[in-house]
Amino acid sequence: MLRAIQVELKKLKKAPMIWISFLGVSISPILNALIFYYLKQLFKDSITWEAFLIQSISFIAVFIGILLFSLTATYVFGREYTENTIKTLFTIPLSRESIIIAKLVILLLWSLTLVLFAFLITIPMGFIIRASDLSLTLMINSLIQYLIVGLMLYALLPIVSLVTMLTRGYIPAMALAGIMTMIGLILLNSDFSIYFPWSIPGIYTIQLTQGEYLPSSSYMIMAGTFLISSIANLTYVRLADIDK
Amino acid sequence: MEPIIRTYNLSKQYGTHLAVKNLNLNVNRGDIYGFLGRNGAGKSTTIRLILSLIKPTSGYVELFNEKPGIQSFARIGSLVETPGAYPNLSIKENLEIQRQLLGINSPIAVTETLDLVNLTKDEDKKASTLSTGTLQRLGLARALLHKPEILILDEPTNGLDPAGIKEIRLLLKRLSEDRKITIFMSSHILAEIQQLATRIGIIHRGELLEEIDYEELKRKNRTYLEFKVSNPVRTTWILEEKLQIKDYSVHEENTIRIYSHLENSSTINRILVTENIDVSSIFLNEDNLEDHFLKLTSEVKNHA
Repeated sequence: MLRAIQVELKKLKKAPMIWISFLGVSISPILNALIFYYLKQLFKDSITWEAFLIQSISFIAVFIGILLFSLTATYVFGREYTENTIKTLFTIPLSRESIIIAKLVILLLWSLTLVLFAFLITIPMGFIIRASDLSLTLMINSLIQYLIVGLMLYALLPIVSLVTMLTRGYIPAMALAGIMTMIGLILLNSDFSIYFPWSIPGIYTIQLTQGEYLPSSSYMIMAGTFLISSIANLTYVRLADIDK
Repeated sequence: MEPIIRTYNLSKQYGTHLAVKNLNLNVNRGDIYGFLGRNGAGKSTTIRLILSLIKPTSGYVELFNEKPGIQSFARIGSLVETPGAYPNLSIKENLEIQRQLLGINSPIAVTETLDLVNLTKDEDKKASTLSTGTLQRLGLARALLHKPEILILDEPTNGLDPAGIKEIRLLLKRLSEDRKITIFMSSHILAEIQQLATRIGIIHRGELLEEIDYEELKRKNRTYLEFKVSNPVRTTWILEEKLQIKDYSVHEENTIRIYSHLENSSTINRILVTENIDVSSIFLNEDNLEDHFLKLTSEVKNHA
């Protein structure tokens, strides 16, 4: 298993998708800083670090996160089909399941690294726009919130990887991610948003700005989504015919 | 002879299409087994079944006299159809990945294998820039990295130029002779199989029409004169004593096949007649593997 994880890491070396994902995730803090800077000019209000940090991750959770993270999942899983390496991968003395688990572990690391990167980009932006009320506790809490968003977005990825494997390509899985983002956005203003996996990351950050917290059922829905879809991945890969 | 790959009534159905029908293959240790068939005959499906890439509809496979498990892959190298590679990585890095996946500790395995398939000078080239032929070589290198006991190759010379084809042929011969690797290779190119195989299986429309040692096939398909005579026993005496012909065989329905002196058919006929042997027919058989293959596959067509 460990060697499968190491190999998955090596495969990403010089992969353009790495840069695309980091560039994508950094759009949010930069855009956030520009908006806050504009608001500051307009209303002459001071901006708190708390609002600035939450808003930055909220952009990711609501708008680009699902699509961007899905892109990494389709890349990690889909490339084996598009680059014709799946036959080689499934004829080595490692179980198919351990290869899939290794890929899911890599996606977890990738997801957490992306939100961490977004956090690290947000910090200098906050200094540039001269946000106020910075404290260590706030920073730690905020970092935890970023990581929770990362985990939530990650929990949605096994569905994307399953669709990628079923359709052996990127497009249907990305279309699904796009549709789910749209539905998630539509549901954000409804009571149902705390139960729909694709709107939960967004509503989590929105509620934080209002000083509210998600009910535990939302966390359970995310965990259930992850578990069921991960098991579906493992079942599919055990039974699948590699005939292309 | 130790059986190393065996299939038992192996079948694979896709919808209503039966891609492979009740296949019973027998590959022995040390064989270079040429799996011959036209495009779409079921060669790749069979290879995928052997490698457990797809599951059979019925029947089963045995590798090394047991049901295949993932540990079998430690003893098998394979190249199935179009070889793939990670385009962002170099040839060497692609092989390094395979080395790690196979759990080989020594990095020397990579340099040795690169050398074996003549890719050392290109080792730093990115896979995205490689020609089909070089990708094919990389695929072969990956299959050979762990010094497998069996090499399963699906159309291994696809995309190679004539020099490349020759090079791969010589390499496979060398692997068979030096490392005693059992090679199972599919092809639709008769010449390729003819020059390499020690055993041949002919598949057509998913059915194994024939499985035969190449020497036996050559013997079967040798050019010969076939005489249908009234008295085979006396004819053999005449052949040996009067014509000094020793290379012949006696078959059913009073036929005798003569494998030498083929240019002297009229003389042989005349002497047989003067010795009171009735010759009802003379036939010159000039079959080669191609004729044999075409005859075999068209028989199936005619009976279909």
